Amino acid sequence: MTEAIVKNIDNACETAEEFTKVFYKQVDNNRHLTSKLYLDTGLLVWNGNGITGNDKIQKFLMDLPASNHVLKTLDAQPISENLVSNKLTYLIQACGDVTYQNDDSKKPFQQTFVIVAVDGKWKIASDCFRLQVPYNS
Amino acid sequence: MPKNGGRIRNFKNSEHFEHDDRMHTSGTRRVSFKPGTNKGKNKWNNAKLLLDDDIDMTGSAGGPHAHRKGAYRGRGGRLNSPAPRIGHGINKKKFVPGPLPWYQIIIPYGAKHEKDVILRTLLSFISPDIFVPHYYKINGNAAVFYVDDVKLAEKLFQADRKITMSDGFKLMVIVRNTVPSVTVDAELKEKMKLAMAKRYNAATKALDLTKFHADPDLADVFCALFRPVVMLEAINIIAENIPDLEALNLNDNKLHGIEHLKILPNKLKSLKILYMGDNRIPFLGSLEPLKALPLVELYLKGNPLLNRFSDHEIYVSDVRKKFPKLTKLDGVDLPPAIGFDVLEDVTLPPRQQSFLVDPAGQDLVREFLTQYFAIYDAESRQPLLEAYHEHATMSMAASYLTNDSRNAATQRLNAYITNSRNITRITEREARRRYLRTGRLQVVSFLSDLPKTTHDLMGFAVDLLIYTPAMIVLTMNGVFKETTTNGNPIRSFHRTFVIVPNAGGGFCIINDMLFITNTTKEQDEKAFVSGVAVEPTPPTPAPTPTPAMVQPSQDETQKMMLTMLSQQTGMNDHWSVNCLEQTGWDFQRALFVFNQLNTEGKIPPEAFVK
Repeated sequence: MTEAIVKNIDNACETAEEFTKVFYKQVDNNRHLTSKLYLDTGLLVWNGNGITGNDKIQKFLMDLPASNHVLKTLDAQPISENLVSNKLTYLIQACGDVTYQNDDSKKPFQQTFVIVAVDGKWKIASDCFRLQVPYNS
Repeated sequence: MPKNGGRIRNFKNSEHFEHDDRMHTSGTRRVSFKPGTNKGKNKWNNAKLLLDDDIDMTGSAGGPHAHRKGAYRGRGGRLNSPAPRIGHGINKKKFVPGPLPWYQIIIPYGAKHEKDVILRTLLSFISPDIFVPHYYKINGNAAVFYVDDVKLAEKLFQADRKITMSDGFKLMVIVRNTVPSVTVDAELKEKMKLAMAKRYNAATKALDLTKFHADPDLADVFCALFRPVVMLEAINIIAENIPDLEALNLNDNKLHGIEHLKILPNKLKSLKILYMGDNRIPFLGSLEPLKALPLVELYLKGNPLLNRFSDHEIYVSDVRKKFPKLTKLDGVDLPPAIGFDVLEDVTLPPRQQSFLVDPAGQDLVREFLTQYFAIYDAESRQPLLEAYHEHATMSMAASYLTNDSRNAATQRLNAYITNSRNITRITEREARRRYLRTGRLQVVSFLSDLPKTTHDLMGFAVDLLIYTPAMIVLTMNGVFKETTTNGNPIRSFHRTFVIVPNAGGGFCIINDMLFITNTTKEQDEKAFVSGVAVEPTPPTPAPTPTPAMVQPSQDETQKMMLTMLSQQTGMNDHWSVNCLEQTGWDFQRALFVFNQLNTEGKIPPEAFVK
């Protein structure tokens, strides 16, 4: 592995730590500002419901009950080839428990982000959120 | 002389009295309780007895006085006499209400008379009041029944020895504050069920259990809802027969402690109207067990808890704090509560099994996953080498569920945790690099060391997030079974593949990120219920060549399937081709057909000769 690749691995991990800190803080405490973290054309897939575009994501998020996320595991990898418009691209997987308003139970969740560096800011290209429940139809 | 003699006699007497007196004092109390007609029950009587006793003793000190008293009484024992005499002499008996809502009425020698005679006699005595005798029965010589009203119990108490019966004896009435015993058995349950059925209104989904114990169909048993054992049985009957009950009337059932009603919110999820008027519920706090009920209407009038509020508005407000959805309390419509927007109920959007950012990707995703997991779940994961990019990276994180009380050996995730690249725990850069598997050899070797599995493909939730010519990102959620681990535990996983086109025009995985944890109880119940093991996905093979994992051309794909099938089944090429051709080159189907025929012993031995 070249030194650049190794650095990129380190950077992916550190970015993931920073990113999830910001992301869950916004979702839990400043939900109205959360969509700024997404690309204008970003995609949120929430428990199988797909929402495309910054504005629609904002509206969808505002309609969710107030939440509190607690992370238990975090993992990150660089997506090695510059595939998204030649921008640095990272894959981040965050897992933990979420509690929603009016429901004290801790629900396990898993969330995967693809983030890209655009003009010096990390933006979410896609965000896949899943509660850990049976999905058999 | 007389003085002297008197003194001597007095001395002797007093000595005698003193001796007797001890017996007398203690005896009086005991004796007066026993043969006396239940007089000693209240303190006032007792005090009077003691007082009389004292007088009597004083009297005894002076011989003549004592003598006079004894003579006057004309009874056998001067010293024994006061108790019965006083017992008879004092007619102002006082009734003391007890803490229980029921009273037992005992008529000694009541067996001599017809039930009808006794009841009519008593009824005419307390007229114009009337009482309902519950559970009338003959116990030895006595007739015993119960009343459920303290006022009537007092009236009957006053009837003691007031009525002369046809045989010349006075009717004795003993009143005790006690509750009839009851055992909930199949017979009682059946009776309750019938009584409840007749009180149910299917149109309004309402059940009226007002004064349930007085139901004519339950006249011979003490089926009072204030007894937890009876109430719980009633709730069970409701939950079994009318689980969608919306309104329940428990008025006038002498309910006091209702802690056991905490099962109501779980058992009757649709219950929103509850009447509990005219009971004995002491505090508003007693309603705490019902808090989880989404009540819109509640009736509490006639309970002591209301007396604790001097201000009705505070009462209403306190009740609403417990039941925020209430629109009607004690029959009065409540003004809409002014709440905060933020506190409104917000429900989660319904979940969908899959999302495809581009429907065109569906076949590719299905094909890719079917093939990938056919190999992943097979004996050897080595063929997965073909599925990964030369510079692929793979990492896995694992954690236990929070607050999981299960502690079986099968819950242990050691096989995963030791290799978990959880960067919240692994903070060293070196370690973070090490736990990231890079290059297809390292990746497949790592995967090969993980426990052998069978994935519940039909239970997968698949989200296709990015679908461009350059890159495909898809995420799976689902469960798998560890096939060679003791107890075959089921695990939950979340996994993301970043897939890119390879040099040959096919596709391969360049990033693989896996998360593993234990299943929730809910997942356990649903795992493998779609029966993927016996009925694999039967997609009609697309008329156009479907994109395959590595090779794009039909020939290449078929060659790969052939190799895979041959490897997994042990059949020779000829039989493998046969099997694939007959199943329209659907790999999963071919494998399924093979397994089925093989189990049935229908595959000849020559098929395995290579």
